[in-house]
Amino acid sequence: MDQTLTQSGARVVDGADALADLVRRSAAQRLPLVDYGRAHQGLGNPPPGEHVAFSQVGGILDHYERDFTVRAAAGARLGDLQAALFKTRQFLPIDADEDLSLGEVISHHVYGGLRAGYGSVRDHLLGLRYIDCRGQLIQAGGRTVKNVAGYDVTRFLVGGLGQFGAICEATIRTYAVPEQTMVVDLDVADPAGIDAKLSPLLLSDATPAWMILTRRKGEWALQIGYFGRLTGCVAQLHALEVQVSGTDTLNIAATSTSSTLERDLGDLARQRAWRRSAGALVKIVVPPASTGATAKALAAWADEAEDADELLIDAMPVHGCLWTGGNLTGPAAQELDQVILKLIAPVGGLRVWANRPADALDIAPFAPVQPDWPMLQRLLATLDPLSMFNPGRFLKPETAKP
Amino acid sequence: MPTPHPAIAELRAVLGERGVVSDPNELRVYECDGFPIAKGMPIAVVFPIDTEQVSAAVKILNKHNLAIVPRGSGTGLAGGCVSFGDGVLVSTSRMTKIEKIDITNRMAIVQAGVRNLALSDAVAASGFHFSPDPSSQRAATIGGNAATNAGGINTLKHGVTVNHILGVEMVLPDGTIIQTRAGQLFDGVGPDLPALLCGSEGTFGIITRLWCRLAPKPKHFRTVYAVFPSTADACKTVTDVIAAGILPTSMEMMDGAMIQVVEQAFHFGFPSDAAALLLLEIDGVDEVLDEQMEAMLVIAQKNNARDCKRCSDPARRAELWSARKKAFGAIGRISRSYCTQDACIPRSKLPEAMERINAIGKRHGLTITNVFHAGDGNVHPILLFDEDKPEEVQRTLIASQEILEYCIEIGGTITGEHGVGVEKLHLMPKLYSAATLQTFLSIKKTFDPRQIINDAKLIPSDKLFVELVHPVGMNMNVSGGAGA
Repeated sequence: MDQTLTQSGARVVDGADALADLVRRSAAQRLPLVDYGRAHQGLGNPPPGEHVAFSQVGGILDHYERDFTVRAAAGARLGDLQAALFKTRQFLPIDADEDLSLGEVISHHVYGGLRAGYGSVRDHLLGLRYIDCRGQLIQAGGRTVKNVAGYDVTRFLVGGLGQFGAICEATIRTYAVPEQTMVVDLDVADPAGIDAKLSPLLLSDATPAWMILTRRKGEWALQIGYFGRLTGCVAQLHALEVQVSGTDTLNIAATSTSSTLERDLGDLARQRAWRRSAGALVKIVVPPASTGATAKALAAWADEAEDADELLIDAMPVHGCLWTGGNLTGPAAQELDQVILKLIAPVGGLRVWANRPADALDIAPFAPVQPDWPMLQRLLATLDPLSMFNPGRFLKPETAKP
Repeated sequence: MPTPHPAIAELRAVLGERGVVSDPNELRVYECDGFPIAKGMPIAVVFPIDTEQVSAAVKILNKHNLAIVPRGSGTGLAGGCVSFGDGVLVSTSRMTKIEKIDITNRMAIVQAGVRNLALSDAVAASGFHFSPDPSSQRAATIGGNAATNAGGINTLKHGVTVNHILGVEMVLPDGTIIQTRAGQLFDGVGPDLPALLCGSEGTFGIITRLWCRLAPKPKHFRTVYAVFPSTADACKTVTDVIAAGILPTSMEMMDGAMIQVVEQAFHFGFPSDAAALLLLEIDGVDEVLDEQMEAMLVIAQKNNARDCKRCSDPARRAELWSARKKAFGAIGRISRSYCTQDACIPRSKLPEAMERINAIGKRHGLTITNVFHAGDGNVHPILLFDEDKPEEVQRTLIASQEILEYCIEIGGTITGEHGVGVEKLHLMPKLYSAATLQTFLSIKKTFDPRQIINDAKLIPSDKLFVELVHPVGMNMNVSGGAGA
């Protein structure tokens, strides 16, 4: 077993064999394993009692360049993966914190505005290898673009929060780095107005490679990115102009026609940098056509509430996902939570607290209860009967409810 | 006349006369799916009209310890919806309601028996469609598409069924109704249960309702075809186009024998001496498509293509794709029977794989022709045989197995879109470790502890004996009674 420790005392594990060994030893001692990484803060507390914290490292294991496929260790840092792939003019269309490991991106189903044009990691993932609670290597999927042999455990583990096994490798589709990108900044008079505009926009040639609605210092902005040849980007810009003309909701403010993918990804990372240090951070999922209205209502609350006027919002209207938060006090976080629950109830939305202020830890991280949780609980009991992996992070070992 | 099973009367009481078929003559239609080598007669077929009826029927079958086999339109290609032993088919073919279309949220709620194309037709005026496009999309149900995670021609760019399913409702083998991500959300909390249910081939339960993502229907296309003097040149073109950063909607390939079949049936004017034909389509922003099309043609020409044709006429384009989708049907012109394989391999291995497949065919004295999704690396070798010649059937099955084993060797899989069913059960241990197969079985038992629903399909076991490569016989030997 690798005994290297991180600053936080986590064991550093390199490779599937070392991970399997760690699992077997920990299982023998009935010590749960907790894979603390950047994305895990706030999602449930560490399990009570003794446990082994571990962190994986690694890099690219195989790059099947002509197949546009890469096999990488779960511990590979996303930034390192992208840098290596960029050298071959390929990339993973995942805009996430570059310090996240690939395993975390998968386990937490991390995505950003690029999901609008490329889908999320769920759509790119071809195969996984993970270590089960007995220390066995389980192979799900493979390296082919299509594969329906056996159950799709690969995609099942996306968003599984590391409770069903310890992912050690992933095989993912890569994409060609676009020759050119274009970034369009739009002024937003009314974020709720975006909701009605979205379907027509997606049906037009203005359908974006990425799209982000942000609120900073009380101001709204919508950014849209286009990828491809310059002629294509310009054509898309013209299509966007048609879409926004005559509306008082959106107005094109600036256009950067000389952008590159590297710069776009860097800008997107800087935009969401606040989330790394936000004491209060919550992800909200609503039907796509409710995204703008939800964002607007959150801002209205922030304008009225004490200590919340700096509330930050990043919204991805194409998929109905919003991240909001900032440095809120515990009571403000509690109040925000009530506002969110009230907003999402009529539209069937859900929310997940990623970070809760220290004096607001009684906020349930996941709500509302979803109808499939009892089935997931049964699957957890099947796949991790010993509660070896991150027990209680999402599903609690003993009860049917998270 | 044998005495009807006591469950039949109970099923009729719940589903009505129209809801149950038990006459042996009528049942003959249901003895196989699109994999006619595997045949089994159910004791009845039931036709519920909604989730509650499915649940009620399943409870009756459960009480009588009868095996339950879900079935959509029966267009599957792996024997997955056939009953072996004392089983009852639960058909979703009367569950055809499109319950909700929500264009602003780009989703629809459908009963499982809604045909794939019916949903796209229903939303056509909005500019959206249901993107998965298996060749059987006129007949195949969306429930069946989800159960097999069906692919199609446009999957290279637009994804397979699982990429377009937001939520699923399923009736479990004890009659319990579960729903996962049943709403208008494009994300959920926790592991992705809909993805696990997609492709489970009816071995967990019966899919009764789906929340489907609607995608913008592409408006601008360019379609080209190029004829090559060798399959290797065509295969190299496929990888070169993708390496050039172009992501076509579809890259379909036919070899020489298939070109002749299609030409005889549809008269496109394809050269009779061509060794391979690539049919390529791109979609996207109109202004860049011509440039991309020319780039693809340059690549094709560098790889020795001759007779490259641009098809900008929508009617001509529709004819070409119609011919592609009907290509399998046209094989009947040259062979009484055929066996289609469905391996998927890394795209870069296509040239050597085509060579090996042809060599295997030659060694066994068989004609193998190919029409397949080259862009996905999803090969469909079609082995021609005469089913009245047992020895030829045997050679066909042996050759099929050799092809699939070779595909595993080069990093591929035994099925890209048809599923395992019973056809490929025997190959699963060659693809997956014992630990992985045990995990599959554990998952199956979580949904189906008594193992009565489509049991012994997808996961190899000693319950269903499938001997495809029979030493002397002509048909596969499928015996045993799952759940019986």
